[in-house]
Amino acid sequence: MIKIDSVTKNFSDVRSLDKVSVTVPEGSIFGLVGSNGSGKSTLLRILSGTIAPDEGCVLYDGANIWENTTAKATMVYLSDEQFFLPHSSLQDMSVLYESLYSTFSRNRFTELANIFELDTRRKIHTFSKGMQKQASLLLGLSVCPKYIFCDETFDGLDPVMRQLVKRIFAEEVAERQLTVILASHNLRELEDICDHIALLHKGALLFQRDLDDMKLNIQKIQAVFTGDENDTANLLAHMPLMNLERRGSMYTLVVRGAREEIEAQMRALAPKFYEFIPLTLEEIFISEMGDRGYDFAKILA
Amino acid sequence: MTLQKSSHNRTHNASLSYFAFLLRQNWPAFVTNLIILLLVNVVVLSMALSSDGSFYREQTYNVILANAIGYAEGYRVANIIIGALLAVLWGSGTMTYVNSKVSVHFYHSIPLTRGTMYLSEILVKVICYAVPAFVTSALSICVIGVNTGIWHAMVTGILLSGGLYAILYFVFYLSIMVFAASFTGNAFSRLMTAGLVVFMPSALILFVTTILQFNSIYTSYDSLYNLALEFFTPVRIVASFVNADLIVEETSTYISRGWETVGTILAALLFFLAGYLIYRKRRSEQSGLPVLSKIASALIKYTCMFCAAAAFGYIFELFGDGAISYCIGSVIGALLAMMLINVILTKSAKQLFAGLPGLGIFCTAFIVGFVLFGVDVVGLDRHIPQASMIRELTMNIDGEVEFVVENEEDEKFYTDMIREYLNGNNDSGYPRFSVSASEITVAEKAYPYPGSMSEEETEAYLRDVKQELLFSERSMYIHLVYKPYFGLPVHKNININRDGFEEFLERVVSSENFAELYFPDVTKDDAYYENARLEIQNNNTVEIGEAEAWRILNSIRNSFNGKEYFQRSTAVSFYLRASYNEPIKNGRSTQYTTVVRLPYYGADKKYTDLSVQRLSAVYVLDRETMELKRYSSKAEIEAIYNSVCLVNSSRYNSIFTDTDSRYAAALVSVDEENYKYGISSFTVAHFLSGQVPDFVK
Repeated sequence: MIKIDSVTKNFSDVRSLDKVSVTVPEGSIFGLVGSNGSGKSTLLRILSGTIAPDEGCVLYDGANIWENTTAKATMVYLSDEQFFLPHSSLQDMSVLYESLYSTFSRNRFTELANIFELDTRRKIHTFSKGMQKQASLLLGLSVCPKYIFCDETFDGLDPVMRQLVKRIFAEEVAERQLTVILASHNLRELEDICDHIALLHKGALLFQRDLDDMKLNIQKIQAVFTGDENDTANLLAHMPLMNLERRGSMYTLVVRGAREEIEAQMRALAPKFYEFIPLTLEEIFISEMGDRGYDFAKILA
Repeated sequence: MTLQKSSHNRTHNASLSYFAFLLRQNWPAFVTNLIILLLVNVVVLSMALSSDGSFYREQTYNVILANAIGYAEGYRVANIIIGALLAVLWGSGTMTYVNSKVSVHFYHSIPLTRGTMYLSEILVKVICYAVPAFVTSALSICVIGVNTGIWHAMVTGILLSGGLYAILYFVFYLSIMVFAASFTGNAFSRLMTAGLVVFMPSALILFVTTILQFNSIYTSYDSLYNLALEFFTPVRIVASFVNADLIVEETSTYISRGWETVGTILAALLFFLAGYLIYRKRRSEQSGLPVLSKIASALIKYTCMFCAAAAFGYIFELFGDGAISYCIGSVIGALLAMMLINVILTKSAKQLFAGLPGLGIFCTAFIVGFVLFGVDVVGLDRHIPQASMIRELTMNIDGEVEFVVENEEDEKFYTDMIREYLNGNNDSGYPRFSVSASEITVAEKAYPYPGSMSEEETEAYLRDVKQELLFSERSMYIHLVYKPYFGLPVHKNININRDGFEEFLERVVSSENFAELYFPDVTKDDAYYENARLEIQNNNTVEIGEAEAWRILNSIRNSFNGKEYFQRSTAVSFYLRASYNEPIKNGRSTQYTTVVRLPYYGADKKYTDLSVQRLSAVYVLDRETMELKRYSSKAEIEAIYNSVCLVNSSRYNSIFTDTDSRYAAALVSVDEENYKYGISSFTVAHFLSGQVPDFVK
């Protein structure tokens, strides 16, 4: 388990992280969401022991990460800009990774190279941007780490490759309890893979939640009411509304509460028609943030 | 606990396997080093040896051994310089990942401590140099052995120790590069910082030397100012605080001494340690940027400005000739350095002229310092340490004789005498110097010595133009090095007129260590001398056998015993050299050490006749009447020749020779080689005391 405890980081006069505390459970896929400059990359670098926090600490199973080779041997950090040795091939890089990580698996490397269809003998600098991303992922996953930190990893990958990577992550989590931390400014990339999510804004952690819990406690309903607008508004005022939109007699409601509880309330309101529809991650965020008094559209702008 | 233990093992393995990986990665450096060192230590050495005639088999074993030792010592110095250059080259590529955001994030996230990475980078570079250096040093032993037939422990020792010293200096310069890498942000600033560390002491010496050029008469820093030696300046300066001797030693001697070795190792360790401590604290987010506090930035900036000011001042003074040129050059140098450092530190051309007030203050301070040193407000130029503060006094007279004054009484005599003289007190009872150094210089400048003229031109020159030249005073200089118990040695150069200086010379000659050094010991075993040869002007060499050498040496020894020594001098450029065994036993490679040059005349008539044959005429000038007479018969020439010594040319003349100042002679010689071109020249001679021939009077 990774515990980030009151981490603060300043770059000159700019506070990049402000007393951020997060707990990342083992075997989870943890999404770090935030706009540009929100502190996601800084947090990942602190997590990987690359940079030191000014205050607070990062604990891996109780041990501080800073200059801790034992902890570092269990994790791989994939930066948003990939590092490869000059004029090296994937094969050359694999030798470097193999020398650094005792858990590096040559079989896994070969297997992933086949899956990604990358030529391991070809010089990496001749790869496209997307292929370099894949190469970076391939090397990181070949280490068979306990933790992997990915900074904007899906940027530059085509949709097919994104799905492939997500599938690999999911398999690794299921098979050997890999913990993945994905940082992205794009919610849609994370919604079908993350089970935990944290939102950073201007260096501060706005919230951290289990995605299932969030989904269970927020419902989205489309309903048609026959009464006049004022009557309907009076009826809905008793609901725990988080968001309400109306087009003619069609209302779209986002409400907080368990499905059974909300369904009972809806039946009591006797609409002409209603149905529960799935929420996107973005809608959950918008609702949550709106609920907390933030304008979510501006946060992810 | 179990988890920690297994993790520790894994970390340990990661360190080793990363080191092995780096080693494999650096094979191009290894191969390059090997090729360069093979070229120098095997190919070039073989070529040099095979083309050197001194290794002909007819030579005696000791001569060949001495030559082989000479080569070995030469190659030791060459290897050290190559090692230093390679250290700069490979040091430029060490820890380059700290300069890039992408690479620093990778390297600082891998399961290695910064200490492991730092140490691995250094060790790999050292191994890639040390192995080829040691192997090629061993090969060079074989090369010398095969080419000369010499397989001697001393040659082996010199070459192997040379290899070790080269490795040591490689490590030393690598430590400077790594130290610079630890806090700079790019390759250029790294090189510049390393250069600053290396050449800052040189700049200081340049500053002092240049300033002294303007006004100093007596203080000499020539021995400090030698660009070839300044390559090793940082070590020399560090070492000088340990032992003041080291600052004036020759490089080859310098590097072979224990203190310097220890000093170099300590300095290298210090640079490595400082580099590590800075690197450990260096933040990854500062990749590509210098890691400097405001104080450190200012220190580097103004140090650079100082170096540039000293260098530009020197260059401008060379072309502009004057203090104003020096000051203008200094200001320009400081300005350019400031602009460069501003851009490097801030990575912005907009900051080119940042800190102009600081530049103004710096330039003012620099010029004030220049003036203060220049006019010698503290009396540095005439300062001689108190005898009680002097650990050792070395004296060099006219470049001919050099010895250490070991006797305390003599030391006090020379110290007090020179101090009184420099402070203008001529009533102190010490010898007086009738002509000052500056007057001598003026006299020599006014009457330049003609290089070569036909005999007619020579006669016209002597009759009509430069008769004063024949009576020019016999000047000589004394170079004194006072080595204090603590601090830098004090060098003084004093030009004096030899006349009236007998007391000083007698004291010098009568000292024990001088006699030991410059009078061959007649009790020495004959086997001490193994070979001798006569060298004649134009590098003609007459090889003489052992018996002949021994006969000549005996005659010379006899003339040393007593006053004769002061009254003999050869008039032409014959001089005798002999090689001997002892230096080789002592580990010195000097061969054909000049046993004597001075009183050759009279040692053997055959060679005296040769000298006389070379003279076509002699002109004698009477000081009272200023009448110039020409003598051209061989009998007259021989008689005059037998009575004179040369003046103002220590190469042919003993500085101890006592002369009669009433007459002067110009010996017009016709060299066979020059005669083909119709060129003759003359040599000024003075008559030995009491030996002026009657027909001249």
